[in-house]
Amino acid sequence: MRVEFELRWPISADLALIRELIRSHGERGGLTGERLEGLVIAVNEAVTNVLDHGGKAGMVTALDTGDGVIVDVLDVAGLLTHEHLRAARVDPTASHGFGLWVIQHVCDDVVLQRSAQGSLLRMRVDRPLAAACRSAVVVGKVIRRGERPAHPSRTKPGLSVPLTEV
Amino acid sequence: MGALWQPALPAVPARPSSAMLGLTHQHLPRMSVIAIAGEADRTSCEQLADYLGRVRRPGDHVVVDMSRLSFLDSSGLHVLLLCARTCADDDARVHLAAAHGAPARLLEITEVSAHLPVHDTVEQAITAILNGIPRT
Repeated sequence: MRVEFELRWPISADLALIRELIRSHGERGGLTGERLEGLVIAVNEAVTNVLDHGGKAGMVTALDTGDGVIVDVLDVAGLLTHEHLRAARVDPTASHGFGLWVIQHVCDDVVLQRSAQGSLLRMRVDRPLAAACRSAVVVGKVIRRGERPAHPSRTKPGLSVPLTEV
Repeated sequence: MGALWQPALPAVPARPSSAMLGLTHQHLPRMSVIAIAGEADRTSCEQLADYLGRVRRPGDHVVVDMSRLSFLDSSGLHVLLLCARTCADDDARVHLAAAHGAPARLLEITEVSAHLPVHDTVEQAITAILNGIPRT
């Protein structure tokens, strides 16, 4: 029987502290190396977006799934939309959308839920073994892993790939 | 190379207030070597931008020593890319060196090496500039 561990932390401007909490939670969830770094990067970007473009308030919740870690970042203002996620580009000259693009590339899954409580960005990073199994199952069923937008160097300009919508 | 370039002194305490980066620089022929210590995020990216703008001499290439940079977010990377654009105006480049951990991961996923030269060590970056190795 595994012991579930959950972290809840209100969003504040102390990003260094939030990164530290997420890093230790990720380690507890079995993440290491680039997957752990990716989780920290993604959560930092999501919280930064709440501070810079959202309501500046919300909650970070981290859960251990057994296969890895899920982190929810809630923006109480609810300003983040699916269109923002779709439009995200790695554009060195643009100051917007870069962070959202990064989030979608370091996570195994990103889902946006919008409700009266605000917009909730759910980011999942799997442990390496779980990620490998999942990708094998996905390939076996011939389900495309195209939920994340491709890097612009590998895709046509302006092409956007739909993200999972809830 | 060792005679020309001396590693900068540690510039940041173990648990800095997240607001400040430790920034040091050395001027070498044709280049400014800038060492960033700490965590570059939305809180500190303005400090980084100011420093780069102030320290770089016109025409200088920039070597960014990331060996003591423990975090880099998209806003920090944005600052480095804007600096690269400024450098391009006088035929110079920004070379990123010695990234590890989260900063290295960010450089990897954003495929920054398609835009900027990325080196394993500061010495390699300096050598590349001195040798004038052409890169795309």
